[in-house]
Amino acid sequence: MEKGGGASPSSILHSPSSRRRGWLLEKTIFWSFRLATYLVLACATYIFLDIGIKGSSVLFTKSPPFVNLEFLSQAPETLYVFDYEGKKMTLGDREFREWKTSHEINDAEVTSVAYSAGGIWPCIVGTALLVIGSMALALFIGVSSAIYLSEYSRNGPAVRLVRTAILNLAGVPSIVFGLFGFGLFVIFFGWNVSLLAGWFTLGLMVLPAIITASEESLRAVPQGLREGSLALGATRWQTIRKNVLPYAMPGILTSSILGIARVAGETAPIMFTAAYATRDTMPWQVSRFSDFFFQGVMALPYHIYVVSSKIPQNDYTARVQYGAAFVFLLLVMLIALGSILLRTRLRARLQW
Amino acid sequence: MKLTHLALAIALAFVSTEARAERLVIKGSDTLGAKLVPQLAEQFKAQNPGATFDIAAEGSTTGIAAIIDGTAQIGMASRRAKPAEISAASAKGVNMKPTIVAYDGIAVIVNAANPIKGLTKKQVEQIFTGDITDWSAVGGSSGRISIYTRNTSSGTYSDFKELAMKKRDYAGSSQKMAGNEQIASEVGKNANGIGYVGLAYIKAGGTKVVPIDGQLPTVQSVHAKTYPYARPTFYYTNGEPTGLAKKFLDFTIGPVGQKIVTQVGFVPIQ
Amino acid sequence: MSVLTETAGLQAPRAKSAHRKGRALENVIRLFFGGNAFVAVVVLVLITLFLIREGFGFFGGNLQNLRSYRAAGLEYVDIMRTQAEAHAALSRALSEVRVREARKLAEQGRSLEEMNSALAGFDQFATSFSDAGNNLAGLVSDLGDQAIALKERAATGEPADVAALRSNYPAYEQISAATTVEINALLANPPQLSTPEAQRAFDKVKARMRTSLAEFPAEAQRLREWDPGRPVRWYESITSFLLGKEWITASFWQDWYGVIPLLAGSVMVSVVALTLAVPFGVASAVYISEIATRPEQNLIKPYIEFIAAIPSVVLGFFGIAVLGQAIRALSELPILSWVPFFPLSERLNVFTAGALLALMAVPTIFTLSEDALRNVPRAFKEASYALGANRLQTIARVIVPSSLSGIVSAILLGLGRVIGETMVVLLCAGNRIAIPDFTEGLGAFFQPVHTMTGIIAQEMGEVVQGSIHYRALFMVGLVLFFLTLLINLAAQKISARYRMSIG
Repeated sequence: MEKGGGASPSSILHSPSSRRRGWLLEKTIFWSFRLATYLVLACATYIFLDIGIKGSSVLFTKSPPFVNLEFLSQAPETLYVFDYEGKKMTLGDREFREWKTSHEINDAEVTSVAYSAGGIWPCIVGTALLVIGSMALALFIGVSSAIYLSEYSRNGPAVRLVRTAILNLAGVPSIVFGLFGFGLFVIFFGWNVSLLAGWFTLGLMVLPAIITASEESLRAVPQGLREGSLALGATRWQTIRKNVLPYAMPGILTSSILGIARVAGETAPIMFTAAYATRDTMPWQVSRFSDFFFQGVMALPYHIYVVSSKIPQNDYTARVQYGAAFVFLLLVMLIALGSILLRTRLRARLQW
Repeated sequence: MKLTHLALAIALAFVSTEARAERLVIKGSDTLGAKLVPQLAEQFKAQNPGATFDIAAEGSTTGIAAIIDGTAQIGMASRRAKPAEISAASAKGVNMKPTIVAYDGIAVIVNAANPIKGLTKKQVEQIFTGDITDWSAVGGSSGRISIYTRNTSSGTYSDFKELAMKKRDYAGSSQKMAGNEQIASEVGKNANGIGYVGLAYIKAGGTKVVPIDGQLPTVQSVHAKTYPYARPTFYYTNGEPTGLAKKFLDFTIGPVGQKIVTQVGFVPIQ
Repeated sequence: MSVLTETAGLQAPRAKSAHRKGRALENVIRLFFGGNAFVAVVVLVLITLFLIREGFGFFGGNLQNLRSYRAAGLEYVDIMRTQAEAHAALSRALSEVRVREARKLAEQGRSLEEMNSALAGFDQFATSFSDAGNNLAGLVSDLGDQAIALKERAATGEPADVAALRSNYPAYEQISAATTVEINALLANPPQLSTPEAQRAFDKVKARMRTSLAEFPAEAQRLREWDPGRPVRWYESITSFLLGKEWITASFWQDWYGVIPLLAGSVMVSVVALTLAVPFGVASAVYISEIATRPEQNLIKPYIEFIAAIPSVVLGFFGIAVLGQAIRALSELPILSWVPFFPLSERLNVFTAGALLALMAVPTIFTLSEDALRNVPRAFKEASYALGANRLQTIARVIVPSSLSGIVSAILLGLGRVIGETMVVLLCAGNRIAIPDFTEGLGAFFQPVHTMTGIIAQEMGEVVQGSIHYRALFMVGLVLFFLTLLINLAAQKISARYRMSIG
């Protein structure tokens, strides 16, 4: 950069014309940067709006209760489309059955589209269960590992190696974790496609990120706080509990909320480990308690994959496609928003 | 107050399901599982309250693998099990029993705007293996052919190889789609597209079915075997099915089930 | 850390019974955390080992696969098949020449009948040429059936005897000689085309025909020298995976597991994504950290971080539902018809997937670059201003260069994210397992591809546990694993160096 050509500072000061040229150049470049930034925002906004507008027409209604409870509370159904006495009829499976008891219709004229009626309730439940289980697992192991690494272990080459390894594992693609989960839990352990396999796969996937982020927040707590506490005769554990964890909490919380967003948003790891395309029973409808862990679930991201790749795109399917995408986007965005808000608030409160 | 209600409701749900729920796990073919079987299941549930279904439709291979591994009671397949699969099953003590539940014709579809009036079997083979890459070679207006096939786990994928391509491999330029509907929608949007779908999917917008050697796939031509790309579709079970699996199988090949088969666009077994 | 340990040690001598209990508790707690850390490390090591275990099993199976390919004579038939396919390719080239000529004639306003009569001589030539290959194609098909039967017999343990297969060599030689005579006769008296452009193309095809004829003796030589007993070396199993140009599974003929087409797909999608994401990501990072006003900063920064939270499957759905179609519609606009590869026939292609992935990479690149820019010490900036430099000069000559390693590592981490992304490429990349045709230049970026992540997602559910195919997918997973590990390590090394240089 020393040998870069162009106008030297002194020549700028002395020549007004070159100064004007420099000013013009600066303006142009700054404006192009501004344009680039706003273009990125515009692209993202377009996606949000496209899904938001088409999706909110599914999720929200004009009359009370203003929210399409049916879409949120029912399971997916097949949609039937047909002409009846000059009218276009679109009915979900149960409605159609009921309707057929009192009307005559030639079955050949009825077109049916899978998944397009009803709602996405089981998918929401499945995703919630997956998130809760895997985050519990990841937080429990992750935070305690971070505490050990930052508070107890000596900072030797072995620990540094472990730290680098964990940091690098955080970048491994989610599909590789899915592959691993499928091979180990589903097949090798024989858990089949199940909640348990999904929990472990997702939990292990976010584990490295949680360890890294938590350790970082723990290490950001000033040494003086620890030393002061220890000097007063507190034990190591008392010090950690009273003087370290409270200050590291904001960081740990933020990272764990981001972890939730990631776990909820991933499709690839659950495709073979936990997700079903159709499942009639709700997860709590099991005959034995242990069955609860060994059942697969429907999950929102997988459902979006199914409805965007396995059913056609037309006016009848847009409802479930955009509706599911919008609800999912909304959920993940809310979680992310929560994390951003929390971070700004806690940061403002905890300054040292 | 509210909490106790909730707890009561959950407890009731546990008790009630314990009393009657019977679960049937079905895996396999997308051809059967994306449309026909869910509708059969809905009708079956209407007649047999309490029966519940888990359906996964990722391809015939997954269905057969699930029967071998014992992870499903019924495996849907649009092809017969391969010798390797049968020997893998018997090694695990599983007896693969196929039951024909419906017939299907594999329809070759092109974009509705495509001027071609028909193809010969030879031409279909040449197109899908990549010997012919331009529509002008088969009497269309010139344009590079875009081939859409199913993914490799699909029974339709290997059936089509066997029925239409003399067991040759697909052209390297073919695109592997996740399901019949996806093929139909891509062909419907691509003027130079060609693909194949099960009979139940030929009504998709923007596509038309090409007669093969002058034959269109219909119920009659599939039954009479004059349509060259006709095939049976199966439920695979481990030995004789029992319990709910048997009931559902009987229901499928019974009059009500076969009526749904017709309605969805497949060809009934009688 | 060591200071702390000593302070803790100082308390030990004052141990009373309460203290002993306390210390026991301390130890339990320490053990608990240590145990958890141990579990975490063990599990993460296990993942790596398990992937390697499942993946490396592939090589044994693939070696078997390659051995049976040779032993059953499939390789022998494939030598002939290459020749037959070269012939078919020439036939296709001829029909392309015809298309070219016909298009020119149509532009001159000729009717269909006139065109057909003008091209009658050429059609005669093309048909005779195509027919000249029929005998060889028939022989290949017959021998193929024999070879498959041999392979099946070998699978049941019977010895495969390829002598019967090779006894067809005289027939091959006969066919080959006859074909040579026929083609030479055709070439001696070729038809003339009216447009110079088509004629040039035709001349090229004729030249290719002569080269292909000249290669006949070499093909025959290879057939004669082919030895079913020649051992397949162990490393060929590895090279056929790492350098293999074909990924063909569930074949009636021979399965090939070559990672190159998938790698090419992944790399091309990443190239598109980064080409778009790097300028935008870095420009917006510079803009936000150096140029933007405070309110702009406070609004835009969280918004871009927000983009990072869009689930990939939603982006993939957007690609299928909106973007792919929009890109194709754009390519069909008349004002863009000068672009050589427009209009596009495939709406799901490298570019569609790459553009969506760019949007996923921008937040990563933005956030980390912005951090790096912000960490440039104030003194650097002030010194630059003091020397009389303006803002642009300060940014371009001082701030960006001194945070360059941070920006580079941000880009690398963005690359890591893009190459490992699954759902967008599975839904939007078009899933064509082939190395793109680079002769089309930039058009190659508008062809469909399949990627490493996509193939795992598409084929994992279908494979029989423990089969070669299953293990091949684990190998692809391992390649991805090490690739991303390498990218991450490089990013860390670069940013560590940067931290030191700034101090």
